[in-house]
Amino acid sequence: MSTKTAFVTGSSQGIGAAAARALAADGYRVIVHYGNSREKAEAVVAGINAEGGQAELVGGDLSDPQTPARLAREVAALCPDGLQALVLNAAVMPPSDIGSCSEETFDQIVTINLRAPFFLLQALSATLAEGASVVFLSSLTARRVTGGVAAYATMKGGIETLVRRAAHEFGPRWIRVNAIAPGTTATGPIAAWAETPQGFETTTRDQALKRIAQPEDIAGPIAFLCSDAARWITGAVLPVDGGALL
Amino acid sequence: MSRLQGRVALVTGSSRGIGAAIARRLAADGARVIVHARTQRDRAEGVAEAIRADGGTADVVMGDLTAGDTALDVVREAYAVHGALDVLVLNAGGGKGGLAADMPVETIDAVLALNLRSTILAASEFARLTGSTAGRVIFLSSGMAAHAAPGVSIGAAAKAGAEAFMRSLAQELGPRGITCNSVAPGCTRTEMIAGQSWPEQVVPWTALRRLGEPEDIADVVGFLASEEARWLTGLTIAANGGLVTTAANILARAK
Repeated sequence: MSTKTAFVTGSSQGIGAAAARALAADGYRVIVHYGNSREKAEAVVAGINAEGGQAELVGGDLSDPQTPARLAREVAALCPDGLQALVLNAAVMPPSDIGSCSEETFDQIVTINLRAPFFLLQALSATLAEGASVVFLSSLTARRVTGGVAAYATMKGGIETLVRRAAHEFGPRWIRVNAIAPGTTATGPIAAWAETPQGFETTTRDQALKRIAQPEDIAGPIAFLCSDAARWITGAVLPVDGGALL
Repeated sequence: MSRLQGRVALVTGSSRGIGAAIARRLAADGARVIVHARTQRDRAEGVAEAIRADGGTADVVMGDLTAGDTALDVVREAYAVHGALDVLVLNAGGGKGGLAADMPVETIDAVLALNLRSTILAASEFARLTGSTAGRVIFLSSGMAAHAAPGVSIGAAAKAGAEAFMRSLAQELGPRGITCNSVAPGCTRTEMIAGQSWPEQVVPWTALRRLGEPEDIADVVGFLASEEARWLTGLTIAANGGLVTTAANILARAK
Protein backbone atom coordinates (compact mmCIF):
# COMPACT_ATOMS: atom_id res chain seq x y z
CA MET A 1 0.00 0.00 0.00
CA SER A 2 1.41 3.39 -0.97
CA THR A 3 1.96 6.07 1.65
CA LYS A 4 -0.66 8.78 2.01
CA THR A 5 0.60 12.35 2.22
CA ALA A 6 -0.87 15.22 4.25
CA PHE A 7 0.02 18.90 3.99
CA VAL A 8 -0.69 21.07 7.04
CA THR A 9 -0.18 24.83 6.78
CA GLY A 10 1.01 26.63 9.87
CA SER A 11 2.13 23.45 11.58
CA SER A 12 5.19 24.73 13.45
CA GLN A 13 3.12 25.13 16.62
CA GLY A 14 -0.31 25.02 18.23
CA ILE A 15 -3.24 23.26 16.54
CA GLY A 16 -1.31 22.84 13.25
CA ALA A 17 1.58 21.04 14.95
CA ALA A 18 -0.86 18.81 16.88
CA ALA A 19 -2.70 18.03 13.63
CA ALA A 20 0.60 17.15 11.90
CA ARG A 21 1.47 14.78 14.76
CA ALA A 22 -2.01 13.20 14.78
CA LEU A 23 -1.92 12.61 11.01
CA ALA A 24 1.59 11.16 11.26
CA ALA A 25 0.33 8.81 13.98
CA ASP A 26 -2.44 7.75 11.55
CA GLY A 27 0.21 6.77 9.00
CA TYR A 28 0.40 9.88 6.83
CA ARG A 29 3.68 11.24 5.55
CA VAL A 30 3.24 14.84 6.68
CA ILE A 31 4.49 17.98 4.96
CA VAL A 32 4.98 20.48 7.77
CA HIS A 33 4.75 24.16 6.84
CA TYR A 34 5.96 27.28 8.65
CA GLY A 35 5.70 30.97 7.91
CA ASN A 36 8.46 32.37 10.10
CA SER A 37 9.13 29.82 12.85
CA ARG A 38 11.54 27.52 11.04
CA GLU A 39 13.17 26.13 14.19
CA LYS A 40 9.85 25.19 15.78
CA ALA A 41 8.80 23.51 12.53
CA GLU A 42 12.05 21.56 12.40
CA ALA A 43 11.34 20.35 15.93
CA VAL A 44 7.88 19.13 14.81
CA VAL A 45 9.48 17.25 11.90
CA ALA A 46 12.14 15.78 14.20
CA GLY A 47 9.47 14.75 16.71
CA ILE A 48 7.45 12.94 14.03
CA ASN A 49 10.56 11.19 12.70
CA ALA A 50 11.55 10.19 16.24
CA GLU A 51 8.16 8.49 16.63
CA GLY A 52 8.82 6.45 13.52
CA GLY A 53 6.76 8.68 11.21
CA GLN A 54 7.71 10.52 8.04
CA ALA A 55 7.74 14.29 7.74
CA GLU A 56 9.05 16.91 5.35
CA LEU A 57 9.46 20.65 5.75
CA VAL A 58 8.37 23.55 3.56
CA GLY A 59 8.47 27.25 4.37
CA GLY A 60 6.65 30.26 3.04
CA ASP A 61 5.35 33.53 4.43
CA LEU A 62 1.64 33.59 3.52
CA SER A 63 1.40 37.35 4.01
CA ASP A 64 3.16 37.51 0.63
CA PRO A 65 0.51 37.11 -2.12
CA GLN A 66 3.05 35.21 -4.27
CA THR A 67 3.55 32.48 -1.67
CA PRO A 68 0.50 30.22 -2.24
CA ALA A 69 1.41 29.50 -5.89
CA ARG A 70 5.07 28.86 -5.07
CA LEU A 71 4.23 26.74 -2.03
CA ALA A 72 1.74 24.67 -4.04
CA ARG A 73 4.41 23.90 -6.66
CA GLU A 74 6.80 22.80 -3.93
CA VAL A 75 4.19 20.59 -2.28
CA ALA A 76 3.10 19.11 -5.61
CA ALA A 77 6.70 18.17 -6.33
CA LEU A 78 6.81 16.33 -3.00
CA CYS A 79 3.64 14.36 -3.87
CA PRO A 80 4.20 12.22 -6.97
CA ASP A 81 1.26 10.02 -5.85
CA GLY A 82 -0.98 12.98 -5.06
CA LEU A 83 -2.09 14.60 -1.86
CA GLN A 84 -4.59 12.75 0.33
CA ALA A 85 -5.11 15.32 3.10
CA LEU A 86 -4.88 19.11 3.01
CA VAL A 87 -5.27 20.99 6.30
CA LEU A 88 -5.48 24.76 5.79
CA ASN A 89 -4.72 25.91 9.30
CA ALA A 90 -2.31 28.87 9.06
CA ALA A 91 -3.84 32.10 10.33
CA VAL A 92 -3.13 35.25 12.31
CA MET A 93 -5.46 36.77 14.91
CA PRO A 94 -4.52 40.35 15.77
CA PRO A 95 -7.07 42.58 17.53
CA SER A 96 -9.31 43.78 14.71
CA ASP A 97 -12.53 45.35 15.96
CA ILE A 98 -14.07 47.87 13.57
CA GLY A 99 -13.22 50.85 15.72
CA SER A 100 -9.51 50.12 15.76
CA CYS A 101 -8.62 47.88 12.78
CA SER A 102 -6.20 49.60 10.40
CA GLU A 103 -6.26 48.93 6.67
CA GLU A 104 -2.85 47.28 7.01
CA THR A 105 -4.15 44.89 9.67
CA PHE A 106 -7.26 44.09 7.63
CA ASP A 107 -5.18 43.42 4.52
CA GLN A 108 -2.78 41.21 6.48
CA ILE A 109 -5.66 39.12 7.91
CA VAL A 110 -7.45 38.79 4.58
CA THR A 111 -4.22 37.80 2.81
CA ILE A 112 -3.16 35.12 5.29
CA ASN A 113 -6.53 33.85 6.55
CA LEU A 114 -8.73 33.93 3.43
CA ARG A 115 -6.77 34.60 0.24
CA ALA A 116 -3.97 32.12 1.02
CA PRO A 117 -6.22 29.11 1.75
CA PHE A 118 -8.42 29.92 -1.28
CA PHE A 119 -5.49 29.98 -3.69
CA LEU A 120 -3.65 27.10 -2.03
CA LEU A 121 -6.77 24.99 -2.60
CA GLN A 122 -6.99 26.22 -6.20
CA ALA A 123 -3.30 25.61 -6.91
CA LEU A 124 -3.29 22.18 -5.22
CA SER A 125 -6.54 21.09 -6.87
CA ALA A 126 -4.76 19.04 -9.51
CA THR A 127 -2.56 17.43 -6.86
CA LEU A 128 -5.46 16.34 -4.63
CA ALA A 129 -6.07 12.63 -5.10
CA GLU A 130 -9.48 11.04 -5.56
CA GLY A 131 -10.90 10.49 -2.07
CA ALA A 132 -8.79 13.29 -0.56
CA SER A 133 -9.98 15.30 2.42
CA VAL A 134 -9.59 19.07 2.76
CA VAL A 135 -9.98 20.56 6.23
CA PHE A 136 -10.22 24.31 6.82
CA LEU A 137 -9.88 25.87 10.24
CA SER A 138 -12.76 28.17 11.09
CA SER A 139 -13.42 29.60 14.54
CA LEU A 140 -16.12 30.02 17.15
CA THR A 141 -15.91 33.74 16.34
CA ALA A 142 -17.46 33.12 12.90
CA ARG A 143 -20.83 32.47 14.56
CA ARG A 144 -20.60 33.96 18.06
CA VAL A 145 -19.67 37.45 19.14
CA THR A 146 -16.63 36.98 21.38
CA GLY A 147 -13.23 38.62 21.47
CA GLY A 148 -12.25 41.92 19.86
CA VAL A 149 -11.66 40.35 16.46
CA ALA A 150 -14.31 41.63 14.02
CA ALA A 151 -12.14 41.42 10.88
CA TYR A 152 -10.71 38.02 11.83
CA ALA A 153 -14.22 36.66 12.52
CA THR A 154 -15.47 38.02 9.19
CA MET A 155 -12.75 36.09 7.31
CA LYS A 156 -13.67 32.93 9.22
CA GLY A 157 -17.29 33.45 8.14
CA GLY A 158 -15.94 33.56 4.59
CA ILE A 159 -14.10 30.28 5.19
CA GLU A 160 -17.36 28.59 6.24
CA THR A 161 -19.06 29.71 3.03
CA LEU A 162 -16.03 28.60 1.03
CA VAL A 163 -16.29 25.13 2.60
CA ARG A 164 -19.84 24.66 1.27
CA ARG A 165 -18.93 25.91 -2.20
CA ALA A 166 -15.75 23.83 -2.39
CA ALA A 167 -17.54 20.69 -1.17
CA HIS A 168 -19.86 20.89 -4.15
CA GLU A 169 -17.19 21.86 -6.65
CA PHE A 170 -14.91 19.00 -5.57
CA GLY A 171 -17.59 16.42 -4.62
CA PRO A 172 -17.80 14.79 -8.07
CA ARG A 173 -14.06 14.05 -7.76
CA TRP A 174 -14.79 12.34 -4.39
CA ILE A 175 -12.85 15.03 -2.58
CA ARG A 176 -14.41 16.07 0.72
CA VAL A 177 -14.17 19.61 2.12
CA ASN A 178 -15.03 20.48 5.73
CA ALA A 179 -14.04 22.84 8.51
CA ILE A 180 -13.32 22.51 12.20
CA ALA A 181 -14.28 25.53 14.30
CA PRO A 182 -12.41 25.57 17.61
CA GLY A 183 -13.22 27.82 20.54
CA THR A 184 -10.61 29.10 22.95
CA THR A 185 -7.65 26.71 22.76
CA ALA A 186 -4.40 26.75 24.72
CA THR A 187 -2.02 27.91 21.99
CA GLY A 188 0.54 30.73 21.88
CA PRO A 189 -0.23 33.63 24.22
CA ILE A 190 -3.74 32.26 24.88
CA ALA A 191 -2.24 29.25 26.71
CA ALA A 192 -0.71 31.36 29.47
CA TRP A 193 -3.78 33.59 29.78
CA ALA A 194 -6.14 30.60 29.98
CA GLU A 195 -4.22 29.27 32.96
CA THR A 196 -4.66 32.48 34.95
CA PRO A 197 -7.63 32.40 37.37
CA GLN A 198 -9.44 35.05 35.33
CA GLY A 199 -8.66 33.39 32.00
CA PHE A 200 -9.76 29.99 33.27
CA GLU A 201 -12.97 31.43 34.72
CA THR A 202 -13.80 33.41 31.55
CA THR A 203 -13.14 30.44 29.25
CA THR A 204 -14.89 27.69 31.21
CA ARG A 205 -17.87 29.89 32.16
CA ASP A 206 -18.87 29.98 28.51
CA GLN A 207 -18.57 26.27 27.67
CA ALA A 208 -20.22 23.01 28.76
CA LEU A 209 -16.96 21.17 29.47
CA LYS A 210 -15.14 22.82 32.34
CA ARG A 211 -11.52 22.77 31.27
CA ILE A 212 -9.26 24.52 28.76
CA ALA A 213 -8.97 22.95 25.31
CA GLN A 214 -5.55 21.67 24.33
CA PRO A 215 -4.37 21.54 20.68
CA GLU A 216 -4.73 17.72 20.76
CA ASP A 217 -8.47 18.11 21.48
CA ILE A 218 -8.78 19.80 18.08
CA ALA A 219 -6.27 17.60 16.25
CA GLY A 220 -8.29 14.41 16.91
CA PRO A 221 -11.37 15.67 15.02
CA ILE A 222 -9.13 17.01 12.20
CA ALA A 223 -7.60 13.53 11.85
CA PHE A 224 -11.11 12.04 11.93
CA LEU A 225 -12.24 14.27 9.05
CA CYS A 226 -9.19 13.09 7.07
CA SER A 227 -10.00 9.43 7.79
CA ASP A 228 -12.22 6.97 5.93
CA ALA A 229 -14.64 6.97 8.88
CA ALA A 230 -15.66 10.50 7.78
CA ARG A 231 -16.21 9.46 4.13
CA TRP A 232 -19.85 10.65 4.24
CA ILE A 233 -19.17 14.08 5.77
CA THR A 234 -18.61 16.93 3.34
CA GLY A 235 -19.56 20.59 3.29
CA ALA A 236 -19.80 20.55 7.08
CA VAL A 237 -18.48 22.87 9.74
CA LEU A 238 -17.82 21.05 13.00
CA PRO A 239 -17.65 23.28 16.06
CA VAL A 240 -15.06 21.67 18.35
CA ASP A 241 -15.37 24.01 21.29
CA GLY A 242 -16.30 22.02 24.39
CA GLY A 243 -19.91 23.14 23.99
CA ALA A 244 -19.81 26.92 23.58
CA LEU A 245 -22.59 28.54 25.55
CA LEU A 246 -22.32 31.93 23.86
CA MET B 1 -9.58 -1.61 17.17
CA SER B 2 -10.61 -1.40 20.81
CA ARG B 3 -11.11 2.31 21.42
CA LEU B 4 -14.38 1.61 23.29
CA GLN B 5 -13.01 -1.27 25.40
CA GLY B 6 -14.83 -1.49 28.71
CA ARG B 7 -17.71 0.80 27.67
CA VAL B 8 -21.36 -0.20 27.65
CA ALA B 9 -23.58 1.19 24.89
CA LEU B 10 -27.35 1.09 24.36
CA VAL B 11 -28.52 1.64 20.78
CA THR B 12 -32.28 2.13 20.48
CA GLY B 13 -33.97 0.76 17.39
CA SER B 14 -31.00 -1.41 16.48
CA SER B 15 -32.63 -4.52 15.08
CA ARG B 16 -32.05 -3.26 11.53
CA GLY B 17 -30.85 -0.45 9.29
CA ILE B 18 -28.71 2.35 10.67
CA GLY B 19 -29.26 1.22 14.27
CA ALA B 20 -27.96 -2.29 13.56
CA ALA B 21 -24.93 -0.84 11.77
CA ILE B 22 -24.24 1.39 14.80
CA ALA B 23 -24.53 -1.58 17.18
CA ARG B 24 -22.06 -3.54 15.04
CA ARG B 25 -19.65 -0.57 14.80
CA LEU B 26 -19.60 0.06 18.56
CA ALA B 27 -19.18 -3.66 19.26
CA ALA B 28 -16.30 -3.88 16.77
CA ASP B 29 -14.69 -0.97 18.65
CA GLY B 30 -14.85 -3.02 21.84
CA ALA B 31 -18.04 -1.78 23.52
CA ARG B 32 -20.48 -4.16 25.18
CA VAL B 33 -23.65 -3.41 23.26
CA ILE B 34 -27.31 -3.52 24.28
CA VAL B 35 -29.45 -4.03 21.18
CA HIS B 36 -32.99 -2.68 21.42
CA ALA B 37 -36.15 -3.29 19.42
CA ARG B 38 -39.81 -2.43 19.89
CA THR B 39 -41.42 -5.77 19.00
CA GLN B 40 -39.18 -7.86 16.76
CA ARG B 41 -37.16 -9.79 19.31
CA ASP B 42 -35.93 -12.35 16.78
CA ARG B 43 -34.36 -9.64 14.62
CA ALA B 44 -32.73 -7.97 17.64
CA GLU B 45 -31.42 -11.36 18.76
CA GLY B 46 -30.06 -11.87 15.26
CA VAL B 47 -28.04 -8.63 15.47
CA ALA B 48 -26.78 -9.59 18.95
CA GLU B 49 -25.91 -13.10 17.77
CA ALA B 50 -23.93 -11.73 14.80
CA ILE B 51 -21.98 -9.46 17.17
CA ARG B 52 -21.21 -12.39 19.47
CA ALA B 53 -20.14 -14.50 16.49
CA ASP B 54 -17.57 -11.78 15.70
CA GLY B 55 -16.23 -12.03 19.23
CA GLY B 56 -18.19 -9.11 20.70
CA THR B 57 -20.58 -8.82 23.63
CA ALA B 58 -24.26 -8.07 23.04
CA ASP B 59 -27.56 -8.37 24.89
CA VAL B 60 -31.12 -7.48 23.96
CA VAL B 61 -33.65 -5.19 25.67
CA MET B 62 -37.19 -4.85 24.31
CA GLY B 63 -39.75 -2.08 24.71
CA ASP B 64 -42.09 0.35 22.94
CA LEU B 65 -40.47 3.75 23.52
CA THR B 66 -43.75 5.57 22.86
CA ALA B 67 -45.74 3.75 25.56
CA GLY B 68 -46.05 5.39 28.98
CA ASP B 69 -42.66 5.54 30.66
CA THR B 70 -41.24 2.52 28.82
CA ALA B 71 -38.36 4.68 27.56
CA LEU B 72 -37.19 4.98 31.18
CA ASP B 73 -37.53 1.21 31.66
CA VAL B 74 -35.49 0.46 28.52
CA VAL B 75 -32.59 2.58 29.80
CA ARG B 76 -32.87 1.06 33.29
CA GLU B 77 -32.89 -2.49 31.91
CA ALA B 78 -29.92 -1.73 29.67
CA TYR B 79 -28.04 -0.29 32.65
CA ALA B 80 -28.89 -3.36 34.72
CA VAL B 81 -27.24 -5.78 32.26
CA HIS B 82 -23.69 -4.77 33.26
CA GLY B 83 -24.44 -2.31 36.07
CA ALA B 84 -23.15 0.51 33.88
CA LEU B 85 -24.01 2.58 30.82
CA ASP B 86 -21.52 4.87 29.07
CA VAL B 87 -23.00 5.49 25.64
CA LEU B 88 -26.65 6.12 24.76
CA VAL B 89 -27.44 6.17 21.04
CA LEU B 90 -30.98 7.40 20.42
CA ASN B 91 -31.58 6.00 16.98
CA ALA B 92 -35.21 4.79 17.06
CA GLY B 93 -37.38 7.17 15.08
CA GLY B 94 -39.58 7.63 12.07
CA GLY B 95 -43.32 7.56 11.64
CA LYS B 96 -45.98 8.67 9.19
CA GLY B 97 -45.61 11.78 7.08
CA GLY B 98 -48.29 13.91 5.53
CA LEU B 99 -49.52 17.48 5.30
CA ALA B 100 -49.97 19.16 8.68
CA ALA B 101 -53.52 20.20 7.77
CA ASP B 102 -54.45 16.56 7.10
CA MET B 103 -52.75 15.05 10.12
CA PRO B 104 -54.95 13.31 12.75
CA VAL B 105 -54.12 14.12 16.36
CA GLU B 106 -53.20 10.49 17.02
CA THR B 107 -50.56 10.54 14.27
CA ILE B 108 -49.10 13.83 15.51
CA ASP B 109 -48.90 12.41 19.03
CA ALA B 110 -47.25 9.21 17.78
CA VAL B 111 -44.58 11.05 15.76
CA LEU B 112 -43.78 13.39 18.65
CA ALA B 113 -43.76 10.52 21.15
CA LEU B 114 -41.27 8.44 19.20
CA ASN B 115 -38.92 11.15 17.93
CA LEU B 116 -39.04 13.78 20.69
CA ARG B 117 -40.64 12.56 23.91
CA SER B 118 -38.79 9.23 24.03
CA THR B 119 -35.49 11.06 23.37
CA ILE B 120 -36.08 13.36 26.34
CA LEU B 121 -37.16 10.50 28.63
CA ALA B 122 -34.32 8.14 27.72
CA ALA B 123 -31.59 10.81 27.89
CA SER B 124 -32.89 12.07 31.23
CA GLU B 125 -32.86 8.58 32.72
CA PHE B 126 -29.36 8.03 31.32
CA ALA B 127 -28.26 11.25 33.07
CA ARG B 128 -29.70 10.00 36.36
CA LEU B 129 -28.12 6.56 36.15
CA THR B 130 -24.73 6.89 34.55
CA GLY B 131 -21.56 7.31 36.54
CA SER B 132 -19.42 7.19 33.41
CA THR B 133 -16.40 9.46 33.12
CA ALA B 134 -16.70 9.26 29.33
CA GLY B 135 -20.47 9.54 28.95
CA ARG B 136 -21.91 10.05 25.49
CA VAL B 137 -25.44 10.81 24.32
CA ILE B 138 -25.82 10.61 20.55
CA PHE B 139 -29.13 11.44 18.88
CA LEU B 140 -29.90 10.38 15.32
CA SER B 141 -31.60 13.38 13.79
CA SER B 142 -32.40 14.06 10.14
CA GLY B 143 -31.66 16.65 7.50
CA MET B 144 -35.31 17.68 7.73
CA ALA B 145 -34.59 19.32 11.10
CA ALA B 146 -32.64 21.98 9.20
CA HIS B 147 -34.14 21.96 5.68
CA ALA B 148 -37.69 22.86 4.78
CA ALA B 149 -39.79 20.26 2.94
CA PRO B 150 -43.52 19.74 2.58
CA GLY B 151 -45.10 16.59 4.00
CA VAL B 152 -42.67 16.01 6.86
CA SER B 153 -43.44 19.01 9.06
CA ILE B 154 -44.29 17.04 12.22
CA GLY B 155 -41.22 14.83 11.94
CA ALA B 156 -39.09 17.90 11.20
CA ALA B 157 -40.43 19.66 14.29
CA ALA B 158 -39.76 16.59 16.44
CA LYS B 159 -36.20 16.16 15.16
CA ALA B 160 -35.43 19.88 15.51
CA GLY B 161 -36.90 19.84 19.00
CA ALA B 162 -34.77 16.88 19.99
CA GLU B 163 -31.64 18.58 18.59
CA ALA B 164 -32.43 21.65 20.68
CA PHE B 165 -32.89 19.41 23.72
CA MET B 166 -29.48 17.83 23.10
CA ARG B 167 -27.79 21.25 22.85
CA SER B 168 -29.11 22.35 26.21
CA LEU B 169 -28.57 18.93 27.78
CA ALA B 170 -24.92 19.25 26.73
CA GLN B 171 -24.68 22.32 28.97
CA GLU B 172 -26.32 20.51 31.87
CA LEU B 173 -24.12 17.39 31.64
CA GLY B 174 -20.89 19.08 30.51
CA PRO B 175 -19.55 19.57 34.06
CA ARG B 176 -19.71 15.76 34.43
CA GLY B 177 -17.69 15.30 31.24
CA ILE B 178 -20.65 13.88 29.33
CA THR B 179 -21.01 15.02 25.72
CA CYS B 180 -24.35 15.27 23.88
CA ASN B 181 -24.45 15.50 20.10
CA SER B 182 -26.66 14.77 17.11
CA VAL B 183 -25.90 13.15 13.77
CA ALA B 184 -28.12 14.11 10.85
CA PRO B 185 -28.03 11.52 8.05
CA GLY B 186 -29.21 12.29 4.57
CA CYS B 187 -30.90 9.72 2.33
CA THR B 188 -29.52 6.37 3.49
CA ARG B 189 -29.92 3.00 1.81
CA THR B 190 -31.85 0.90 4.34
CA GLU B 191 -34.62 -1.63 3.86
CA MET B 192 -37.09 1.26 4.34
CA ILE B 193 -36.25 2.40 0.80
CA ALA B 194 -35.19 -0.94 -0.68
CA GLY B 195 -36.63 -1.73 -4.09
CA GLN B 196 -37.79 1.84 -4.71
CA SER B 197 -36.53 3.96 -7.59
CA TRP B 198 -37.06 7.46 -6.13
CA PRO B 199 -33.84 7.48 -4.04
CA GLU B 200 -31.85 7.71 -7.30
CA GLN B 201 -33.26 11.25 -7.69
CA VAL B 202 -31.33 12.24 -4.57
CA VAL B 203 -27.93 11.32 -6.01
CA PRO B 204 -27.46 14.37 -8.31
CA TRP B 205 -28.18 16.65 -5.32
CA THR B 206 -25.39 15.00 -3.33
CA ALA B 207 -21.82 16.29 -3.64
CA LEU B 208 -20.36 12.78 -3.47
CA ARG B 209 -22.87 11.48 -6.05
CA ARG B 210 -24.17 8.38 -4.28
CA LEU B 211 -26.65 7.41 -1.55
CA GLY B 212 -25.56 6.94 2.05
CA GLU B 213 -25.03 3.48 3.50
CA PRO B 214 -25.84 2.60 7.14
CA GLU B 215 -22.12 2.07 7.77
CA ASP B 216 -21.38 5.66 6.62
CA ILE B 217 -23.51 6.88 9.52
CA ALA B 218 -22.32 4.25 11.99
CA ASP B 219 -18.69 5.31 11.53
CA VAL B 220 -19.56 8.89 12.51
CA VAL B 221 -21.38 7.64 15.61
CA GLY B 222 -18.34 5.49 16.42
CA PHE B 223 -16.16 8.60 16.29
CA LEU B 224 -18.52 10.57 18.55
CA ALA B 225 -18.46 7.71 21.07
CA SER B 226 -14.66 7.64 21.10
CA GLU B 227 -12.08 9.55 23.11
CA GLU B 228 -11.06 11.49 19.96
CA ALA B 229 -14.42 13.32 20.10
CA ARG B 230 -14.02 14.41 23.73
CA TRP B 231 -14.14 18.13 22.86
CA LEU B 232 -17.27 18.04 20.68
CA THR B 233 -20.52 18.67 22.48
CA GLY B 234 -23.85 20.33 21.75
CA LEU B 235 -23.51 20.07 18.00
CA THR B 236 -25.15 18.40 15.04
CA ILE B 237 -22.97 16.67 12.46
CA ALA B 238 -24.57 16.32 9.04
CA ALA B 239 -23.49 12.98 7.55
CA ASN B 240 -25.07 13.22 4.13
CA GLY B 241 -22.34 13.25 1.48
CA GLY B 242 -22.95 16.95 0.88
CA LEU B 243 -26.70 16.72 0.23
CA VAL B 244 -27.89 20.28 -0.33
CA THR B 245 -31.48 19.69 0.84
CA THR B 246 -33.58 16.72 1.93
CA ALA B 247 -34.94 13.80 -0.03
CA ALA B 248 -38.49 14.87 0.87
CA ASN B 249 -37.93 18.26 -0.72
CA ILE B 250 -36.31 16.80 -3.84
CA LEU B 251 -39.30 14.52 -4.32
CA ALA B 252 -41.76 17.36 -3.77
CA ARG B 253 -40.01 19.43 -6.44
CA ALA B 254 -40.02 16.52 -8.87
CA LYS B 255 -43.81 16.15 -8.71
